[in-house]
Amino acid sequence: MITTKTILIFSFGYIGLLFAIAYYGDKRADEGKSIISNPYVYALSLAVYCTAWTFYGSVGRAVASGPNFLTIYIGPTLMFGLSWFVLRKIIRISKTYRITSIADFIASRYGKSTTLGGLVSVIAVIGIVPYISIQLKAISRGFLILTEQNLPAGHISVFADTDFYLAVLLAVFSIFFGTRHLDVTERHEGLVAAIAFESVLKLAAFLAVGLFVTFGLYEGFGDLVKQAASLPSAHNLFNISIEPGTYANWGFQIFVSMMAILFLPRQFQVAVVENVNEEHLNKAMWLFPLYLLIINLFVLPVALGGLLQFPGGTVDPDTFVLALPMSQGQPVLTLLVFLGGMSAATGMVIVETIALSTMICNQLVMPVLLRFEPLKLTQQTDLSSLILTIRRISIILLLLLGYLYFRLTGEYHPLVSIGLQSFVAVTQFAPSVLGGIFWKGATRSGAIWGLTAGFGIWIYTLFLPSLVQGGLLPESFITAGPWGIEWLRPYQLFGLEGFSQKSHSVFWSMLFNIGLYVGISVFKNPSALEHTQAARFVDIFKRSGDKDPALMWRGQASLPGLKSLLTRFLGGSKTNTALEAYSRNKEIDWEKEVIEDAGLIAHIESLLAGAIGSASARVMIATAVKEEPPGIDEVMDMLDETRHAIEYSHELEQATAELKRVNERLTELDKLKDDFIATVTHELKTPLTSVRSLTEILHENPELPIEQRNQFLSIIVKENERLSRLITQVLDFQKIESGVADWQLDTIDMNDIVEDAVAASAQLVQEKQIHLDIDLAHPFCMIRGDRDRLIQVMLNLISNAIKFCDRKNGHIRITTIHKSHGIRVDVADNGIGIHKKDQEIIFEKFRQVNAVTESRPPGTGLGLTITKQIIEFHEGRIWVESEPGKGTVFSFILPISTEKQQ
Amino acid sequence: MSLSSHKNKRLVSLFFLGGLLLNYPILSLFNLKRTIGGIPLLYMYIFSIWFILVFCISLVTRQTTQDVNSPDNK
Repeated sequence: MITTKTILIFSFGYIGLLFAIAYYGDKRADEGKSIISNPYVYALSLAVYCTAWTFYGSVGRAVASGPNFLTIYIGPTLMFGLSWFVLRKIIRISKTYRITSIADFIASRYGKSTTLGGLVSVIAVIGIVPYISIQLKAISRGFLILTEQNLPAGHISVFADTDFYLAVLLAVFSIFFGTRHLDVTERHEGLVAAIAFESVLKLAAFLAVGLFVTFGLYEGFGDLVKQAASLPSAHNLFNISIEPGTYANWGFQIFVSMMAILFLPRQFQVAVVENVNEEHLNKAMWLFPLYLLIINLFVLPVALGGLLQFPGGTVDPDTFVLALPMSQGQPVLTLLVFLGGMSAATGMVIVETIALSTMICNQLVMPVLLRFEPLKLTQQTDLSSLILTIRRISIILLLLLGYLYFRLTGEYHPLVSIGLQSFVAVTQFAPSVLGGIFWKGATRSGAIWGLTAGFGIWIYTLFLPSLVQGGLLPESFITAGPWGIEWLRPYQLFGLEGFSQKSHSVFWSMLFNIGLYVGISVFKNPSALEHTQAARFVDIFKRSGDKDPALMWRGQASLPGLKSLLTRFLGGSKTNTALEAYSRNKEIDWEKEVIEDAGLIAHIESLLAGAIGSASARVMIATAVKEEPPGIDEVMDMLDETRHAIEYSHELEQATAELKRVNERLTELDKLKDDFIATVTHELKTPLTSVRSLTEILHENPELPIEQRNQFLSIIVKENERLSRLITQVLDFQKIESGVADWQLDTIDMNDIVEDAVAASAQLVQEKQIHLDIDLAHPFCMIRGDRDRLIQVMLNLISNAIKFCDRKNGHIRITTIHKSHGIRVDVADNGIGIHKKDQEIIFEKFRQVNAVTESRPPGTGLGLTITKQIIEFHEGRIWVESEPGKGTVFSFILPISTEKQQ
Repeated sequence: MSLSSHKNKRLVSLFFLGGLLLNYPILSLFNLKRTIGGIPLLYMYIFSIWFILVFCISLVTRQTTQDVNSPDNK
C-alpha cells in the first residue's frame, strides 16, 4: 500500500504548492495584476466554508441521522439569496470604514467600543478553537488510516505525532502569508488564491471518490439504494426521523448555518475583508450555493457504499471517504482523497487563525498595551513590527490551543458535533450585527449584555459539557446537574426537553441574547458617538462615498504629529503613499496646502483602523489630537438623521396644515363669490322683471286709467333707481377694491354729512314709521375726506338700521362725539341685533347675515364692505356692538382734520 | 436604485420561498419511504428545490445585471 514516506512527501509537497500559489498571488498583487479579482475566485474562496467536517463528517452525519447533514448547506444557500441585501451592506460598511474583522465590525458599530471588541474576540476564540482542533484531528485521522495504524492520536507522544508537525507547518504558512506586512485593508491576495485552489481540489477529490463509489463499485444511484435497502443500518438514512423535535432541530440547524456563513471569522475574512469588488457578489450568490450542492451530491452514495462495504460498524463512518478507495486498492485515488481532506482542513485552519489573530491583536492586546501607561507605547516610533509580532504569536498560540484541545477531548467527538458547537457560538453575533445594520436604535449596552448572556449560555450548555466528555468535569454535571440541581442540567436547562443539544442551546442563548439586546436598547439612550455610528452603518447606501468626517474630530493636531503616528504603525513609505493618495483625491498639494482639519484626522483614523482596529485607532488619535469639547453646532449635527427626520416631518406637517388652511379659505371665497353672483343677479333680475312687465302692460293697454298709469310709472322709476343703485354699488366696490377710485378730498364738517344723509333718507324713515333722533356734537366736527363717499357711508348705515329696525316701534339714534383722536359717529337701532360670531364677518365682502331674518335681506352684501373700505381710506376705523334682541350700534371714528394732514 | 430594489424584492421572495419549501411542514409531505427512479423521494425533493433555488437566484442576478449594463435602460 502507500508508505508513510510517500504520504509525507505528498503532504509537504502539497503545502509547498500552496506556498507557491500564495507567493505568486502576492507577487501579482504587488505588480497590480490581481489574479483573484474575479467572481469565480471569490466564490471558490467562500467555499472555505467546507472544511474537513464537510469532507469527512457529512458522510458520518448521514449515517447517523439521514438527510440532517444537508441543513448545514441549505442555510448558506438561503442566506446567499439574501446576500445582496445583507452581505453587500456589511461589505460596503466594512470597506468604507476599513473594518477588518467581525469583532471590529461590532465594536465600531456600537461607538468604537473597546469592551465590545474584546468581548467578541474572546467569544470567537473560545468558540472557534475546538473547530480548529477537529481539522487537525481530521488530518491526523486520515494519516493514521493511510498508514494503517490503529492507535488513537492521543496515545502518541507529542514529538512523534505528525499532527504536531502539521500544526507547526500550518502556523508557518499562516504567518508567512497572513502577516507578511501590515496593510490598511488587511487583504491577502496570495492567501485567497491558495484558498481558492484548495476549494477546487477538495471538490474534485470528493467528486472523484463519489463517482468511483457510485459508478465504479456499483451501477449508479439506483443500484446503491436498492442494495442498501436490505441493510437494517441503512434504513434511517433515507428519511428524517419522525421522533418529536426533529423538524425543530432541522429548522434550528438551518438558522445556525445561515448565521455561521456570515459570522464565522473565516467567512467574514474571505467574504468581506478579502472582497475585491462587491459586484462579484452577483455571481458568487449562485456559484457558491451551487458549489455546496455539488459537493453534497455524493454524500449519500458514499455513506451507503461504506455501509455495504464495511458491515458491522468496524469502520468509523467519518472515514468512509478515505477507507473506501483504500480498501479497493486504489492508491492514486486514495492519495487524492487524502489531499482533498487536507486541503479542506488546512484552508479552514489558515484563514481562521489569520482572522482570529487580527482580532486578538487589534481588539484584545493592542487596546490593553496602548492604555498601559508604563509601556509608553503611544510614544514609540515604530509599532508595526510589534503588531506583526503579536499576530504571529497569536497564530502560533491558536494552533497550539487547537492541538491541545484535540489531544484532550478531540477523540470523543464526531466531527460535525464540534463544528456545530462553533456555529452556535458565532450565531451569538447575529443580533448585534444584523440589528446593528438595520436598526439605528440598537445600543452598546444592549449588544454587550446580549452577547454576554448568549455566550454564557453557550458556555454552559455546550462548551462545559464537551469538557465532561474529555474527563475534565464529572459525568454527574450533565446527568444530575451541577450540585445535583436538576433544572440546571446543561442539556435540559430549566427542564426544557425534546430538542437536540445544539437546538436547545440555540434556543436559550438566542432568547436571552435577543431579549437583552432589544430590551436594553429600547430602554437606554445611545451616546452621541453610538448615534453617529448607528446612522453611518444603517444608512451606508444613502451616504456612499461621503464619510462626513467633520462630525468626528474637533480639535487641533499638528501635521507632523499625525504623520509620525501613522508612520509608527504603517512604516514610512506606506504612510507617504496613503497621504499622497489623500491629497490627490482632494486635489491639493500635500506639501503646501494640506490642513489639519477634521477631514484629515478622520482619514488618518480610518487608515489606522485598518491596521489596528477602530477602537485602538480612536485611542491613538486621541493622543495626537487635542480634542475640544464639541460646540453646540456639532452636537446638533450629531443628533443627525433622526432629528432631521423629525424636523422635516414637522415642517411637512406645518406646511400641510398651512396648505389646508389656504385651501379652505379659497374654497370659502369661491363659495362666497358664487353666492355674490347669485345675489347680484337675483337683485338685478327682480327690478328688471317688474320694469319689464309694467312697461309691457303700459304698452299693450293704452286705455289704462291715468292714476294706474302714474302708479305704474312711479314703480318703474323706483325700480330703475334701485337698479342703478345696485350697479353703482358693484362698480364702486370694484373701483375701491382695485384702488382706482377717484377721491375728492375736502375739509368737511361731519355734522353736515349726517344731516344731509338723514335728510336723504327721511322719506324712507317716514314710510316705515321709524323714530329717528340726531344728537350732534358742537360746534364743528371738521375732518378731511370725500363728501359724497362719506354720505354714502351714512346712507348705508342708516338704510341698514332701517332694514333691521323693530317693525312696530322702530327707533334710530345717530350721535356724533368729539374724541381726543377723532370724530366718532354712532348709528344705533333697536332691531333684532347681530350674533357675536356674525359681528366678525359682517364687514367681509359678499357676506350677508343670512340667519337673522327669515328671508334673505335685500341688498348686495356689499354695502358694509364698501363702507368699511371708505372709512379705512380715511384712516378711520369701523366696528359694531350688538346683542341679539337688544339692537345694534355701528360706530366709526375718523381722525380730526389738522393742518399737518392737509 | 429601483433596479436594485427590484432585485432585493425578488431575492427576498426567493429566500422566503426556499425557507418555506425546505422546512416543516412542507418538507414532511415528502418524508416518505419511496423512491423515484431509484433515488429516495426526500433527497430527490430537497436537491431539486435546492437546484431550482440556485437557478432562480442566478436568473435574478443575471437579469438585473444585464438591465444595469444595457445602454437603452436608463
